[in-house]
Amino acid sequence: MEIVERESIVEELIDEIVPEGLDWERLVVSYPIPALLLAAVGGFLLGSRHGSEIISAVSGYAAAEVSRNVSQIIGQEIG
Amino acid sequence: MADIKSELEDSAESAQDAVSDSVDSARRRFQRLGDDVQDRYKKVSDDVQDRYKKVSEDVQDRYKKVSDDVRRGAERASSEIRRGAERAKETYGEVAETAQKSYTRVRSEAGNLSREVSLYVRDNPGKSVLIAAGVGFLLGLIARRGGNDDE
Repeated sequence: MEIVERESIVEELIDEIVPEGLDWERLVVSYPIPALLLAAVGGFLLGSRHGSEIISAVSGYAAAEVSRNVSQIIGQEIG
Repeated sequence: MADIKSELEDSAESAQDAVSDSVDSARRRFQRLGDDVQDRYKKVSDDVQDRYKKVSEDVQDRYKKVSDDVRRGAERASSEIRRGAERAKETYGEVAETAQKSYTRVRSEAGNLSREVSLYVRDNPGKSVLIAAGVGFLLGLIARRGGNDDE
């Protein structure tokens, strides 16, 4: 169940990234190796051009989430 | 007068005999000389002929010996070349067979890997794409950092 949920999260994420109307799943299933190569090249270009910015953004988001959860837990304990 | 005549006749006869003896003697000497020259010529000729024959046999023996040596050397070289060629052929065959087996094995393994990857990607398309993009992202990050360190 958890795996299915994670898979659906991943698919939702990809659905958001790729242009609307593009049936990326069909393309990946039809051409698995070229699709993987294309994804790796895209990831490489993204990492080499905006890698540090993305890392900073993800780190900031994770820190904010942790802080929010900790505050929520402490608030519940106090309340 | 008759005495003088007979004396003259005797003298003439004795002179004739003397001349005849001299001529015979000279003829015999010439005959002996001719025989002697002929003998010497024959001897020299035989000697030259013997020497020529000996030299000819010697040259023929040497030629035969050299010819045998050359033939033996050529046969040995030919045998060595043939043996080397057979050995090279065997080695080439073994190497070609090994290379062909290795190529077939690698091709088969690559085919199996590709098939397995394709199956996994078909079963998990989103996850596979995300993993590939993540690996590419990390590689790009490492490449960029490496480039910045060089600068």
